[in-house]
Amino acid sequence: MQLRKASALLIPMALLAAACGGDAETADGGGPVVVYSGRSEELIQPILDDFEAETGIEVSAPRYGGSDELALLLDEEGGSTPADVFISQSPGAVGFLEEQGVLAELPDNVLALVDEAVRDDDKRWVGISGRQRVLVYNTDQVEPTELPSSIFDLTDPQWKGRIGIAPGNGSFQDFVSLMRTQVGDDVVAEWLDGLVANDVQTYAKNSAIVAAVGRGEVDAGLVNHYYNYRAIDEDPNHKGLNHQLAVDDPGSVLIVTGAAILSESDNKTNAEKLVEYLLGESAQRYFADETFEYPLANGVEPSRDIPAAPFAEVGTVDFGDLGDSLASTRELIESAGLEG
Amino acid sequence: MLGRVLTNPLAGSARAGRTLNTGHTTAGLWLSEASVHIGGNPIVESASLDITPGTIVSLLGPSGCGKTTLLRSIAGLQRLSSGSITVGDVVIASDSVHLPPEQRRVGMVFQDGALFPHLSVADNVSFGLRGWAGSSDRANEVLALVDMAGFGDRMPGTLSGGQRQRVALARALAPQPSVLLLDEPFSALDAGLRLQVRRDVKKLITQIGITTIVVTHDQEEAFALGEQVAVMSQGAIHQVGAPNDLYENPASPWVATFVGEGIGLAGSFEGGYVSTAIGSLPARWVSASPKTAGASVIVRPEQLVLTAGGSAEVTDVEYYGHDVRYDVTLRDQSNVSVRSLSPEFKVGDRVDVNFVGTSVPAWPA
Amino acid sequence: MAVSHGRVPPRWMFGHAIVLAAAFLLPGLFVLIRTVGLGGDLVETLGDSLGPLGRTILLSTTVSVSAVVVGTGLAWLLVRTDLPGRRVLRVLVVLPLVLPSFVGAAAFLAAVAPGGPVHSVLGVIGVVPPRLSGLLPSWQILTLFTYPYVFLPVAARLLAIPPSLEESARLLGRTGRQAFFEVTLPQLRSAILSGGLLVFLYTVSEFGAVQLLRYDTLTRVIYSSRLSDRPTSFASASILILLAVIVVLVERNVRGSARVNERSERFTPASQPLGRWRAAAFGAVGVVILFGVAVPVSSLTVWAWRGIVGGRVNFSRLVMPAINTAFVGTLTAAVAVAVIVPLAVLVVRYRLRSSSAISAVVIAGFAVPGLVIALSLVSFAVNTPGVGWIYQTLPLLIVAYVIHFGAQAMGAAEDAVRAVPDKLRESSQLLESSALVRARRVDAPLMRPSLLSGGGLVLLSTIKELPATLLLAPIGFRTLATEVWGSYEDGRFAQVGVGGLVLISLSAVLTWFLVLKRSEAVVAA
Repeated sequence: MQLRKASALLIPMALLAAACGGDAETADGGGPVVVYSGRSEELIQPILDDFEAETGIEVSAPRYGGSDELALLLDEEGGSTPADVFISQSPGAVGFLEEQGVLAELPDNVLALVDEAVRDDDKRWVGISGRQRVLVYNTDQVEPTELPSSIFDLTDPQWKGRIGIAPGNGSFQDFVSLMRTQVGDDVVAEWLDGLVANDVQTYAKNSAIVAAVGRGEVDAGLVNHYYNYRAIDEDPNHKGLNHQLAVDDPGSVLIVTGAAILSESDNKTNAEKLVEYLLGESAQRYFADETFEYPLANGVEPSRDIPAAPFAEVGTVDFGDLGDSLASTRELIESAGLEG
Repeated sequence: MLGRVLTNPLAGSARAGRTLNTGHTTAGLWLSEASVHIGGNPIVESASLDITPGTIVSLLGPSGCGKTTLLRSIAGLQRLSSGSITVGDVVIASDSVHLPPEQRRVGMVFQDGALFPHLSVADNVSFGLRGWAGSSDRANEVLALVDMAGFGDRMPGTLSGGQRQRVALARALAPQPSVLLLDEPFSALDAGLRLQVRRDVKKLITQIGITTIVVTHDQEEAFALGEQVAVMSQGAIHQVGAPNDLYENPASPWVATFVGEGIGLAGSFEGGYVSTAIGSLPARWVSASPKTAGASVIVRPEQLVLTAGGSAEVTDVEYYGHDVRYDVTLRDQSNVSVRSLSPEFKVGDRVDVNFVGTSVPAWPA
Repeated sequence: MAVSHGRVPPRWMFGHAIVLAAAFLLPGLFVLIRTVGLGGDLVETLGDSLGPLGRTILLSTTVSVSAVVVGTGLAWLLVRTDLPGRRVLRVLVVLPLVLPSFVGAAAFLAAVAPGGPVHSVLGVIGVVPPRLSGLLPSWQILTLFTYPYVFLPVAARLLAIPPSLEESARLLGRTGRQAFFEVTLPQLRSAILSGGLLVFLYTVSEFGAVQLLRYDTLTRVIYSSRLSDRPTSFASASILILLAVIVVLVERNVRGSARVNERSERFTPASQPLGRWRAAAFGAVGVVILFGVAVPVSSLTVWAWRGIVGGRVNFSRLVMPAINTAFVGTLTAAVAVAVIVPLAVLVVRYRLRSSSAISAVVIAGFAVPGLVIALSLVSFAVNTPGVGWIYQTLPLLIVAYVIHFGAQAMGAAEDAVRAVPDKLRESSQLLESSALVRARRVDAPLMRPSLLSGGGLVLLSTIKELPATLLLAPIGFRTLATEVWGSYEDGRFAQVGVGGLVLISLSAVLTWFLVLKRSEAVVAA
């Protein structure tokens, strides 16, 4: 009995210890690379297989999940994480981990593969693909001539009740964060209020907006560009088409998905090789052609269906800033009466 | 089958003196050609019964014979397929009428008591007294009748099996039903308890003088409780009569063996006697007079005695204390049972079997 | 009901209960420690999230009430009446439970939206369904997804109540309806309350459906601030857990000590003839199945069909996940029942105050979001000396499932223990020398219907669980839920449709063979 009581006490105590965090040794052990991927199996496994075949470096089956959930997992795991590489779909997740100080510095030769606009100033992450914010519209219900050139036009009465947004979604919040750095909080707040006053329709996520636009539930919506290509791929009769806003408009921002190496990784050399491979020609082509994203490595062109988006000109979301600013972005969105 | 009039030998002058003054107005019950078919299968076929007010009738039959279904159709828990049921002068079930159970003024005690587990004993008993003035007085009154005064605050889960059945009876009697139905009410009780509860219940319902039908598969119980006994098998009522009448004058060999131990013997008819393996027996014809010489008779074990020496052999002895049962193999290799008061023989003894009764019922073979 | 006052339970039961309590307290402790550690301010968070909290309470309350009505009504119709086809219907009505809520809600929305099957059908008669969002559709859809939590335990109870109770009430002057409300309903009380409580706690922790239907509840605060504002996220989770604990305690008070009739005989309940109500009853069951099963299934089928026609469906991908799902679901259900029954014995038979508190903790665990349970177990496993080996293994995943869904076995286990009368135990103790033989021959058959219904709930919940599976499963261990989620995130709806249909079929098969068929066999014996 005594023993059982003691062991029962141990558990909360251990939990207390858990909450204080732990630490572990790091080394360069070699062996298989462990990947935590916020990008789904369908969209990343072929590249990992190619990497294994070409380099002979083993990659164990990744842990797949939502980028944000995986970031929380990595944070809880701390020094005990088996992960070497983290591939994130959302800038917020990488920003969060950078803030927690669990990401390692990337080597300069890897960072040099991309434009400095799409890599971390502190060398903790590198962009591997880009998603542009666009206005998707229903071809039956919107005339090409009436399409706006700026998101600020969407508060105009002619768009009353016709626009869909996903205020709770990470990509919308990333986009608002960037917009704040460009035009300031007051203008952003005014714009959000204008949207609400203009009876903006809210959805849970990008794919829901694209589906709603396709079936004509709303006329147009602010989304990431590639969802519409997938929708067409699923249903050839899909009625949605992407519209790029002006290149200098906050509505045209490029959102970067990135890769990072964990500072606790005991397999850094191979991990670096994997990240380098993600920026190589074949992986970048895969992103461009299979997932309709923008390749970020210098010299790789987007798929021919997709209009160019020169990221030197369009704004990009800086992962590093997001960690701090997301909370206030959410407050801004919520104070406009939208569900952040 | 034709309806039979069951008469209570004690009805009339004697009744008034032993009826409790509890406001009961009991009624007669008349079943006319009642049939119940379930899923196309005949469960009860053309059952007819005529019960005079205040009579206790046992409905006796093997399990699956349809007796419970018949009881449930009287309660209104089962629809009649044809025929009719009348209580007093009200037709409660027929081709065109199906009075719901709650309007039949029929009380019923189930095998398991079916006390409401969430209600106290007192609340169980007053359950049927909604709208009565002085319902709690009435509840106490019937609880006292069943010897359960003072148990009103107890929950059913804390009662013994016998106590539960007493409360179930009190609950059924409380709203003064015209007819009381008991469905194997003592079968869930231990053997020792069963006898006591049975005696108490019989005393009580006789005192109240309510028309009662008891369903049982136990012949002893049917005889002990019923002033009249109706024997059922395979959905039909085969015979109705007072217990001694059934025992002595069974309508068929099947009834004879079902209502008591009976030894079937074959023989030939000769001038008022049937000649069998145990000798020539005085016979009385139950159905029509014989057209053939062949006959079968039923002999009760207590109508036989054994004497030492003879052509038969004792093959088994069962000692019961108050009497002894012998299995005896006759010379022609047929077997008979004999009841005797004294354990004078043992297995292997040579004996002679002698008939000591007055007569045996006989049927054409 | 006979109670073992003064009897002392075996020591191992105490030890077991203490370990169980520690495990189920883990997520709550984790959240509290994190809230304090990160400097979260409960009072301030509460002040900021009064709106979402109020909506959580409003939605959970209304959903619980309607799920109780629908679940109890269906149970009565499908157990106690002569409704044709009720054996098949008993399987069908359980199915709304099996779709992960994000798939279920998405399929439902797609069906009702323009271009969806329901919209097309209604369009023929000129009806345009409105866009679904807010409280009303959230309430309706969650009712459809949660009433099985009430249906299963109530149906199990109904199978165990002797028909003679209702019949006695009829003969004592009550109409059929009065007999149901005055006699049968009180017998169902504990099953209804425990089922309703599960619905309430499920709705409290629900995120997928309310997110899609844009009804802003407390879980939205927890999820949307999980990276950007962790103090608020954890403080909101603390508030959610406090709400769950309060509701569990209130329910315990309201329920009081349940009085269930003791029965040792088995019997087949009588069928109430529906007569002229048959068509109406059939219609009512049909409407529930139409909206709870047929509507989402129609969307899944449309998606799957488009993909099959377009050659974009990969069936072989689903084979291993289907096997994994069936395996881990069955194992979890068995483990959950096995660890919960001893606690139920302490609660029901020995009536220990402390064991009652532990069972409240077990039940409240159902309201903790799966993500929080997963993170708390990660934290425990990687930071506790000596238990690191369990991290990234199947046992830890099953521990997470049991903590998450043990509540669903708790009420059923208590009912099961009540079904074994103490008298019967004592008399059989004299006859059977071995406790094991007694448990198998005497106790098990009586406990079986309730245990199977509890285990069935755990099974169905486990096979659709997502967040804990994603974070805790051994790397490479894929389930149907994770497959469907992956496809859904990518917008590959064809694969979502096929995966969803496989999930539903697998659940139907498992429910039939492991739960319904066995409990019926017992009743019919």
